Amino acid sequence: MMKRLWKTLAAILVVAMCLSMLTGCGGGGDKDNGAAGDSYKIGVVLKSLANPFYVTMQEAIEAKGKELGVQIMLQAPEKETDTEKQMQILENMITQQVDAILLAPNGSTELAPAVKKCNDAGIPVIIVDTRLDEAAMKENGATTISFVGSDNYYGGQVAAEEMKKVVSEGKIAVLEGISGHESSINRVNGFTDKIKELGGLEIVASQPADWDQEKGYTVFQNILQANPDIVGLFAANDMMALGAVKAIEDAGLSGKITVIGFDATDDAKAVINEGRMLGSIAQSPANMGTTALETALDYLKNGSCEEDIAVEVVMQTAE
Amino acid sequence: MKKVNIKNVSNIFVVLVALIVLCIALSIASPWFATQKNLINIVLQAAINATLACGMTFVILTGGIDLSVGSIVALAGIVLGIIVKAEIPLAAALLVCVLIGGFCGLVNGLLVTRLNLPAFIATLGTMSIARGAALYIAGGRSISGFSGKLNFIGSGAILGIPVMIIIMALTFIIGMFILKYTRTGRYIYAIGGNMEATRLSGINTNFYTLLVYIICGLTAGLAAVLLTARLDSAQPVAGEGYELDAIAATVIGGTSLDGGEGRLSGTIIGALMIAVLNNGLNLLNVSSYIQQVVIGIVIVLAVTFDRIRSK
Repeated sequence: MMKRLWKTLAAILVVAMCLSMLTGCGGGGDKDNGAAGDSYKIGVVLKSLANPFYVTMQEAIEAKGKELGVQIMLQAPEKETDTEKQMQILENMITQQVDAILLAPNGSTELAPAVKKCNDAGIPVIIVDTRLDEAAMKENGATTISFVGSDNYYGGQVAAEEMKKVVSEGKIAVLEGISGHESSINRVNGFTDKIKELGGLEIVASQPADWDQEKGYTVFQNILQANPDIVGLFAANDMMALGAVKAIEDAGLSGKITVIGFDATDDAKAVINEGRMLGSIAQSPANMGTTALETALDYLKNGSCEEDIAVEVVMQTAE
Repeated sequence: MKKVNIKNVSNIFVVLVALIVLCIALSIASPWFATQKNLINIVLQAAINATLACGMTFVILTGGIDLSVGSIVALAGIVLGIIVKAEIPLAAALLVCVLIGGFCGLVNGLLVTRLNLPAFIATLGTMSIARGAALYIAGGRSISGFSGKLNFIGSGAILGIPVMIIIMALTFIIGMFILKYTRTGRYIYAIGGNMEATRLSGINTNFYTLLVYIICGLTAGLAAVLLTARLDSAQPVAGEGYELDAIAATVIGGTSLDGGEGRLSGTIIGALMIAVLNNGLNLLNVSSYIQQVVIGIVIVLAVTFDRIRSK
């Protein structure tokens, strides 16, 4: 018994010694590197690279970085709900002493302590795509220098107008993103406000499908069970819209329900061109990413930048 | 019995050597890795997974498994969020959070011992129940606005050591004490080694099996405290996939999924291994796709090595 304990203690001691040794010899390295070169090093934390939207953004940021001679360090968690992993990535970017951070947060409140850590390290943070919660930011004493995102509310309004052009009256449904996500709330509010204003159409169901294709399928399948006479659907992103399109086709209702999505991903564009979906509100992830990068550089060079930048959205229909 | 123990020690040393080699390699590859701040970050980033893996090790030692811990983290965290906002004394709120975890563990244990459900199925069920309950109670939304009450746990430090790390360390010290010096510890190993023989020798195996699930639930409740404090928010979708990370840490640390063999010291090293890999690959700016591949390879290697040794 005692022998085992001693061996364990010895093992822990060895780790501790190794770690402290490493600490000792590694201490000098970072200072040399921090001063090296005058090109900026920008950390980029996206929501997840499992979503093509952020892959497009990644490619645009990396291309723009190369063009401007800026070093881009880009990371993302595996899941779009993983806030703690984003915090870890941010901590690791602070360690690397990046000059500025672009962050597309996976949660509006959860990332506030992480942004505070960036503030403490003197690294300016630009928020991309999804706004952070003001109360949580205030409570943590965290600040950001700018927000770059789509005009989601306007996008929802555009979707409502396009819907009204095709179906003038009847029951319609809405698929929402993860509850509490600001981009979902704005898109859905923009849509519902405009639908009410235009009149004639009645929203009979508005349920979250968590931005997810499979949930889009099952949630809309359930909505169809309850309301088989639905004539239109607005999904707050294309993944959910594509799931719903499949549900409509499996239910033998092809062509009877007008579907509008959001994001205009390549998959959605293909389905739109086949005539299985009316259209999708096109955000420009590429434009959003490059605008955010330029805003960061603007701030680093001039010490100031625009605080709120809305990237335009348009309805994409069959080509 | 004695022979098995010696084998375990060797296994832990093998994983430890692998961890040290990895650390040396990373400190050569990245100038940022071996800085004091980064090393503290690594332990901080390992703290939640390690705390979960501590309880998971108890369950796996008996030959069981607990898939529900990630969902328990979410449920206990949401309850914590609600009661912290309800002006209840902080200590009571934290206790309730940990006890909710323990209660979920109790349910798991009863399903396994009273209804004789396979642990995999029982905890798969409670995983879904706890997740759904968390989403329902929270209305799908995150809870925040704790006016700094959880900041001491989430970002505070005592003598330069983050409070999260201290909590994790205490958890392991208690766990190690139970496994090494109490009868309960010996019975847990015995149940994993041979449940039937243990029962026939007059030990109440149902009781001790129930106990390991409660312990696992309690550590999940504690992990919920850590996560909620760290993010200063409670998120109903939090902790997705944490059960797999906790199992991975336990298995990399040399605990056998068949039960009866393994040590908590190995589990710490396993959790550190995962954190070092994640951190190091971040620092080297390796694509997040590749990071998943690397972690997978390490799990497979660790278990393969374990199997070869124990033949």
